[in-house]
This record gives sequence, C-alpha cells and structure tokens, in this order.
Amino acid sequence: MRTLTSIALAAVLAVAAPGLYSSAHAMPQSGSKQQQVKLIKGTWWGSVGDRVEIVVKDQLATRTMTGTVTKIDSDKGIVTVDAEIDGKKVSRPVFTSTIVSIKPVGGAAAPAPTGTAGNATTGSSPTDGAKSATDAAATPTKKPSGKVDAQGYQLDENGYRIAPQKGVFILPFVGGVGATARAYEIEQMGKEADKWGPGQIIILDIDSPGGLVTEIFKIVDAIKSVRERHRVVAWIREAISAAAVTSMQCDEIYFRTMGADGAAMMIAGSNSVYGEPLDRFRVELGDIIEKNGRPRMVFLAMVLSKDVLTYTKDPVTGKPTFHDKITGLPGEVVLSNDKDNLTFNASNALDCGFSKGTADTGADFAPLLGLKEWYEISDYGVKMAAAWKKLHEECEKDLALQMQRMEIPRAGGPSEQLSVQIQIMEKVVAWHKRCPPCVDGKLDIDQLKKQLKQMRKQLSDMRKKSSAPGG
Amino acid sequence: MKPILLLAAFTVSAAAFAQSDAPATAPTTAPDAAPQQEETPAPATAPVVAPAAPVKAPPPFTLGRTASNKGGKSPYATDTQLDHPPVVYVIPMEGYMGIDISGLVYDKIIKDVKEKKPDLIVFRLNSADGRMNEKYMEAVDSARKDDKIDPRRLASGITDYRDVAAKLHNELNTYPMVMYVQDSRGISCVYALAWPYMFMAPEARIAGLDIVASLGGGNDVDIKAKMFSAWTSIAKGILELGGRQQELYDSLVRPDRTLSADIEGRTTKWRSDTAGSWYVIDTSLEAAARFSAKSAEDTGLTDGIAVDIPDLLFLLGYPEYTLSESGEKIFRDYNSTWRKQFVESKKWMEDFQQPMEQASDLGKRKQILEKMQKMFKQYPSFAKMWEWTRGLTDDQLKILIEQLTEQIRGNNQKKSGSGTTGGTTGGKGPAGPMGPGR
Repeated sequence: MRTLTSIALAAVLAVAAPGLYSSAHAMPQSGSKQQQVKLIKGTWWGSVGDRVEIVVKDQLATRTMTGTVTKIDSDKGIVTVDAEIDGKKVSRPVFTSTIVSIKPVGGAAAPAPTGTAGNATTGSSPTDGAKSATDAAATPTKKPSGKVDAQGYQLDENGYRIAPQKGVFILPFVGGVGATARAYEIEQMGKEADKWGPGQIIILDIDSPGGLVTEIFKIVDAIKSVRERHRVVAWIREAISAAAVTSMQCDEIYFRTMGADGAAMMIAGSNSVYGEPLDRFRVELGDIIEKNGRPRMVFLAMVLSKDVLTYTKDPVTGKPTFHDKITGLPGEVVLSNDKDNLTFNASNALDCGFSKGTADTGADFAPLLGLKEWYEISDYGVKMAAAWKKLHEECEKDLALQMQRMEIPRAGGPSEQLSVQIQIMEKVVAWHKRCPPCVDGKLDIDQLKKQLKQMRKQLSDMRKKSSAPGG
Repeated sequence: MKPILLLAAFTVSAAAFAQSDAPATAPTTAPDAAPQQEETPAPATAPVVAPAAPVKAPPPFTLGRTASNKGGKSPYATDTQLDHPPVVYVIPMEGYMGIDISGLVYDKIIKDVKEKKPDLIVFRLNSADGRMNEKYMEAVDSARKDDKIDPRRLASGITDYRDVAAKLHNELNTYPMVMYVQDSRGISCVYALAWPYMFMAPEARIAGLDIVASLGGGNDVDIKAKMFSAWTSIAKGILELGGRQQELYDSLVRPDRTLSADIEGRTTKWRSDTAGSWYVIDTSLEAAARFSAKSAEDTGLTDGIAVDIPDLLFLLGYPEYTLSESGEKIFRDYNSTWRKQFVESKKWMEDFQQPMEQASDLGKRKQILEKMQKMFKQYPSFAKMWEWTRGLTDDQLKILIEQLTEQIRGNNQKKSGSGTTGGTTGGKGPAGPMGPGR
C-alpha cells in the first residue's frame, strides 16, 4: 500500500461539490496524507478527516453509514469512521475487505476507477497541451475548459483530456518478456494515461510465455511507478514464467476462462539456475510480491517444485488461507505438491482468491472493474504494442534468413562473396538500430561491427589487388 | 548438385508412440441392476372437464433434458423454446489439428454464421492424431509415407488451438452450441471438452491428451516440472472453456493422476483418486485417463450417444430441422483445394529430386521451387503440412531458390567466358559472428 504526499484533498471533494471548491483545484495541499485503500472491488483514495458515505457488506445484506474518517490503517486493512448510528456517536472500525463502496458525502462512489479520486505525485510531461500529472496535484474535473489539445481532445479546467465516459486503457503484453513484452511500453502507457489525469485503469492484457529475468526487474519498477498514479490490472490469457511474475506486480489479477498463470522457475537453456542467483531471485521478488499484498508462498511454489502450496477455506466466511505444506485440514485443496511447479488456471485461481474474477470479453470484464460498460478511452497501447510486435517479428524472421544467406556460394567469386556478406552484415546492423532487443540476444553487435570493418578492408584490398597491373 | 534433404529430422521418442489403445477400465462398482421400474397404477377413469380457458400451444416436442446447471446457452429444445424447426449450422472440425482444423477456415465460418443467423450450432469433431503402437522407426517411416504427422508436432500448436477455441466461444456466444465427437484422439481432445454440451458417436473416443505432457523437456527436475506445469496448464485452460472439474482435466492431461467419480442424481463429481463410489476411469499412474463413448455416458461426461447428427438433433428435441450446409462447404472447399495442390506438389518435389541430366535442369528446378513458394503463400495449411511432414519451410525455399539462381548465373558466366575465379562454388569468406562464409 502506498502513501502519496502532496495531495489535494480539496480536489477530491471538489468532485462532489465543484461549485464550493472550484478555486482549490490546482492548489497543492499539505497536511493530511491521502492513502489508497483496497475495497472488495477497486480502490478508494482518501484521508483522515474525509466525510464519507460507506456501504459495507454484512453477510448477505449491505449497510450504509455516513461519518468522518478518523484513522486509515492500510496495512491491517481497517478504516475507522466516527459515525452516528441509532442516534449515538460511535467510532466504528471497518475492514476494507467488507467495503462495497465509499464516497465523499454527496460525491461519486469508489470504486469509481477514473477521474473521481486520487492524485498524482509522479509522471512525465504529457505533450500536446494536455496537462501533466506531475505539474498539478489536481484531479480531472471533467468540466470543459473550452480548450482542445493538438489531437483534438477537449481539456478540462486542470488541463486533462476529457473522456466521454469512464473506461480503460489496454496494453497488450504479448510475446517474450524483454523482446515484445517490455517495461518500456508499460512506462509509455502510464504517460499516455496521465493525459487523462490520475486514477485511470490500465489493463495489461497478458499473453506471454515468459522471457528475460533482467527485464523482470525493469518491469517491477515500471509497474510500481505507474501504480502510484493509476490502477494497473492484469488480464491473463497466458502468463508463464516472467509473465507470471509481471502479473503479480499489478493491483489486481483477472483471468480469461482459458488463462494460465505460473511456472516461474529461473532457467538457462535446458537447465535450471540454482545457487546464489536463484536465492536472490526468490528473496528479492518474494519481498516485492509480498509488499504487493500477495503471499510469498504463492510465488515460491511457482519457482521450485519442492515448494508446496495448498489452501483451505473458512467454512463460514469462505475466506481462503494458503499453506506451504499439506495440512490435512478438511476441504484442503493441493494446488502444487512437492513435485509440481505451480500454474493457476481460471477456476482454481478464482476459488483461492489469487484471481479477482474471470472475464472473456470486455463486456464481461467491465462490471468486475466497477464500470457500467466497456469503453476503451484510447487505443494508444494497442497500437504501440502491435507496431513493436510487428517490427520484432519482421526482424527475427529476416535475421534467420540472412544468417542462412551468408552460406550461399556466389557465382561472382570471392569478391562478390565478400561483398554480399558485407551487405548482409550491414542489414543486421541496421536491424540492431531499429530493433535492438531482437538482435542483442542472438549476436554480439560490437563484435559484428569490428568484423564488418575488417571485411570492408579485405574487400578493398582484394579489389585493389585485382585492378593492379598483373593482378 | 548436392541432394537436398527435405525430410524432417524428427527426434521423436519411442515413448510418444507407445501409448496403448486399451480402453478405460470397466466400472468397479457397476450399478447392481437396472433401476427398478415403479409399478404404474391403472389409470382411474377421470371425469371429463371442459377447458375453462383457451388451450395453450404445447411446448416443443422433446426427448431432451431440461436445463442443467452448465454454463453457456443450452441447445435443448426445452430451453431454446423455438416456435419453428431450428436452422442448424454444422461447423466441422475434421482432420489434423492446426492444418485442416485451422484458424483461417474458422474466421470464414464465423463470418458466415453471423450472416446465416442459425438457431443452433453443432461442432462436429473427428480428429485422431494417428498415434501408432509400432516401434519408433517403423512409425516414423510409415508417417513419412502416409503424410502422417508426429503427434508432438500437432500438440505443439496448442496455444493456437486455444485462441481458436476462445474465438469461437466469444464470437458465437449468442448461439446455443453443442459439440458432437465422432472421434477424438490426441491433442484434439481439448476441443472435445471445450464446450459444456457434448455428445459422442457410439465408437468415439476421447483419449491421448497426455501428449501435451511430452512437450516439456529439460535436464533437471525443476525445469522439467516447470515445462510440464506450463504446457499442461495451457491445455487445462482450453478444457476450462467446457466448465468441467479440475480433477477431470488433471487426469486427462497428466499420466500421473488417477480418476474416479461419485454420481449424485445427474451430477458427476470427479475425484483424483480411485475411491469413487460409482466409477473408476483411470487407475494408472503412468497413463492418462481416456474415455470410450460408453464410459463417457456412464459417468455423465457426455450428454448422450448419437449415431449421427440427425440422431443428435432428435436427442436434443428437434425431430424437424433445417441443416445449413455452408459451414461444411467452406471447410471442405478450403481443405480440398490445398490438399489437391499438396498431392500435386509432392509430384513436383519428386521431379525436383531426380538426378540432374543437364545444366538447363537447374532452371526447371527453380521454377518448381517458385511454384511451391506461391502455394506456401496462398495456403498456410499447405505450408504447415510441408513443414510438419517434411521439415520444408518458406525460408528454406527462399534459400534454395537463391542458391539455384547463383548456380544458373555461374553456368551462364562459364558459357559466355566471363566467369570469375570463384565459379559456382564461390570463395570462402571470413568466419564472422554468424559462422564462416563459404
């Protein structure tokens, strides 16, 4: 759970009462810290002193109470509210896991994923006239300012683009991690979402068999940074290995019906990696995943086959509890025994609480996210990912072909042979400029450039020799 | 001229071919006897009462069940409540997975379904991967001769099959759908069980899905466990589209799991052990579960056994219906066209491999390869068939064509006397990072 520092409480309330607080929109406030609180569905941003209306799930019924927030303990998941119940003033601690919705009195309810609450502390400058999340602690007001940006989007009073309705930003996270699925696109997606103001929903649409461990740590940082401003959600088709670790960096995980998420053992070629690198991998990522609110033992069972994961459910509340050994408790479900590596499917992930829901289409997904209907605010992420994937695939295919072309005997003799080989290597260098990760994994580009230089010299010598008298 | 090796260098383990065809074990606890018939009392003579209100139209004729707790739209007449004989659209899934049963053809079919707007969709699955019991070399030789494909190759396309199944589900989810399994052996089982409502032909099998477990690999216990877990979970993900239980999926995909069932009323509860009170399907820790039509019916895995599609529709409660043939036609047209070309292309490539008699043969060979290249581009299934049966790829064709071009050029230079010192063999370039040039 993260805490933001320079937050405008007034701006949150301004959403509820814009007339009253209209002068406070762009003013950074000091004092009370705003915190993110996870609810049954979605999150709420608020702080001590907020006057709120809370809807709480009480077994099969729901209760509504109005009061003032006096304490937020995000680690324990408790919000304490001073409320008037049956004519008496009481201080009532409420478990955040039972809160269905929470809103400023008279305001829009969370989980209202976009634009109604939350403020930014970091982020980069959006271009084209749209306001950056960094340069104001204001939230999107949705009140048109009469200005439009270079792309024709209407801007609100705080300079944020106005979306026609609440919606999502999709970023396909497809293919090899470090190849087509990268931290870079996540960062770019965050910057794009910043243009609509903090509190957007970014969906990582994951379909990846895994990839480079080095990229995982970049992804961890990228998602962490974007989560400080937005809600980042994983939607699983295939999240194997490094992609499984990526999914566990997100605020929430949802599955498609055919989804698979797990199998995160570190490997090199056809062998597992053991010893210090593996120990560090388990400890460092275990720490991060635990900080993200997920049990370390879930991650560990995805790494080494000897690590066990089971769960039991409270017969009354249905709340699942994970175990790192087989307990023999009634109703215990073994997800991964001491010979298996853990990979979740949609049904067992949902049953044990690893997944928050299952959806195959946008229409199915929208209500799970707290949206009235599916609406994609921008296709920036989809286009960006598709363009990069296309380039990477072209590069990969052509590189394989060029390597085979090196071998073809040329009719024109040694100088033509060398000349064609130089052309091929120049192509490879050009690919490296356009798509470095595709080439880097296969060739040492510095070595290749040196080789190219030698070959050019060799060709030049050959030509000089043949054109010399008697050559 | 070097002979060009077109046959794929398969590294198929004998184990992949060694699975037995033995049927599933018979029920350990068979029902003692046929359910006792209740004695029907003789009907009493009831007074005839005149109807007080206009008689409502009778519900649609049906022999089918009432709605069950399955996901998806029920195909039963009692649930569709149509006031006319249904238009039934049959979507075939026949032949090799990934080749005949390919995403490309289903894109066309999905478009056609949306135009035709049928009342009911029947998927007709008939795909046995041709796994053999013979020894490895015999099997591979036979496979080459008959264009049979290593089942592991077929299984390796599992993520494509998953995406096709998901697309069919998502695009057609407004229609009631039912799967009719004529036969399913090997990787096609993921489709047999990817729809909640499923009927089987009397001789149908659902077996051999443990081929997925052979896709893994690695040198130590942890990498093997990782690969095994990843592949089997991807397969189980497709099975989840059918909305059945994890215990069932596990036993179908994993040789090391057993399976039995408790049956309460119409509900089957699958168990990962052999202690089921009703039926034990799989007692082996070395072979995956498999079903005959009978064992599938006994355990409630299938909704019923139908001899053909009219019989299936009768069981669903539709004695009258109109069959839309266009799905079958699209499927047949696409697959018969490329298959015809494939038969032709085998003759072309036989010619290509004949010993060369004169230099002008090089040009003919190049033309053959260019024809092949055109077919590869036009028919992805054609290309995949060549790759999966003989290891020939589009990239290899490009390289072969370029080699031939160089040889032809070399010959022409020799003829005209303008050849350089290298001739057809070319010079040897320096060893670069991509290997030595020649």
